[in-house]
Amino acid sequence: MKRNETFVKKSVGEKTLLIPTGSSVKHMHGLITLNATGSLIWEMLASDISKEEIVLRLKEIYGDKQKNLVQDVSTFIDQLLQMHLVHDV
Amino acid sequence: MSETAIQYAPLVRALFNDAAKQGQPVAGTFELTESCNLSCGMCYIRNNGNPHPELKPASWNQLAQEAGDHGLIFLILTGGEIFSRNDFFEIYIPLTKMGFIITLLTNGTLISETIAERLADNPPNHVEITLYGASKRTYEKVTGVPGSFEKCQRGIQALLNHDISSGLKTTLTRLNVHELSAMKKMANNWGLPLITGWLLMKRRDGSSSDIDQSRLSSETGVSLELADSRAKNVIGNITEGINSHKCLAGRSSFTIGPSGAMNLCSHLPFPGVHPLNIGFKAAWKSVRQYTADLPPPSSTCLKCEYLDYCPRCPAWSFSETGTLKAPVPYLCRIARLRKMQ
Repeated sequence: MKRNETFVKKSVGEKTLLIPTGSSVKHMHGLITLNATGSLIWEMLASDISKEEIVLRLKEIYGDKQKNLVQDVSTFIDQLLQMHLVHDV
Repeated sequence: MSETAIQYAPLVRALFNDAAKQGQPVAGTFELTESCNLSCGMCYIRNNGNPHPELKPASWNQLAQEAGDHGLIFLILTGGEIFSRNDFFEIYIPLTKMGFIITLLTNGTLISETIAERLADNPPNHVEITLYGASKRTYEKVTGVPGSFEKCQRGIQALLNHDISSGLKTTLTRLNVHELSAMKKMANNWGLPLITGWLLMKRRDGSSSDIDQSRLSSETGVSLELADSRAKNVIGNITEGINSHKCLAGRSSFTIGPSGAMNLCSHLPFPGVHPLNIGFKAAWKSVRQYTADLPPPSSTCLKCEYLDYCPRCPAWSFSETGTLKAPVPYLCRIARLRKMQ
């Protein structure tokens, strides 16, 4: 899967935001804020990547510190799919 | 990992405050033109005769690009009347690709089905239409233009036909305040929110205006506020902010006028720097410095027991007294009435 490039990543202070542009404004009148991990995943989604690969890469970065990583990533990606922020390639 | 904004307004407020701490120009207003097809007596611009030179679309796009590079996210396009520019879409379409939350302010009278269709292809986040009355007679008494009431209604309907996120606001004057309930009903019938404003400022070019004949009395205005739960919240929070003024103008927001001059806000024509000449970064730095150097309220205001309820700011003082800090008698009465309620 890959991210929808009509969403533009911006930041205010330490907050990361995704802003819909073009036709995506029809689906979302507002913006999305991401935490640091969400922002990292958004960068990974610039290229085609699976949920499993995302989990592996996050484990490389965070080690085994983050509990429920598989479940959290799955929930997050499902949210992004639901909001048309990512799509299957 | 993602935080869905259930409460959008508080999130935006928090972003503005965070941006102010960082000195980030997160919100900008582009006044594309001073020209307007209506002639409202109370308008603070109302320049139908001799409008300022206007930037070309390429210049607006350059400004937007540079502002975006420096952190602009919330962009308002306003006038005058934005759709009075024949090249509006040459300005607008490129902006929709740059990652801004765009709001369009318009009187709606020039929005045809074709224009609504073009907007729907690249929709703004929101369109805010000003409604000047609930009847042809009142609306056109305010705007001075026969036929404008029907055109406004057609424009609103065209936006609705194309599912463009819209809302209404009204500027209350002595000419239309009696139709507030009817305007609320109209908005309700369209399924649109209606926000109201009644604090009218004088013309910013210093020309004589009909403001004294248009403004509501402080008694009427404050009694309307009390009937509006959102306004009550505003009154309750009015003490937040720095010494000189309570909004975030010059700290996380700016305005650029039709000829490209960057100022604190639409009502205070300072510092009047030109980002196209000196670069956006230097222009924003000048705006922030000007803001930091603004004087605190006068000693009279600082001693006033109603200060917490007063909307005075340097722009109000400048407009009414030519200074940046003097008390504004109209606002003094409003503050006193707010406290007494």
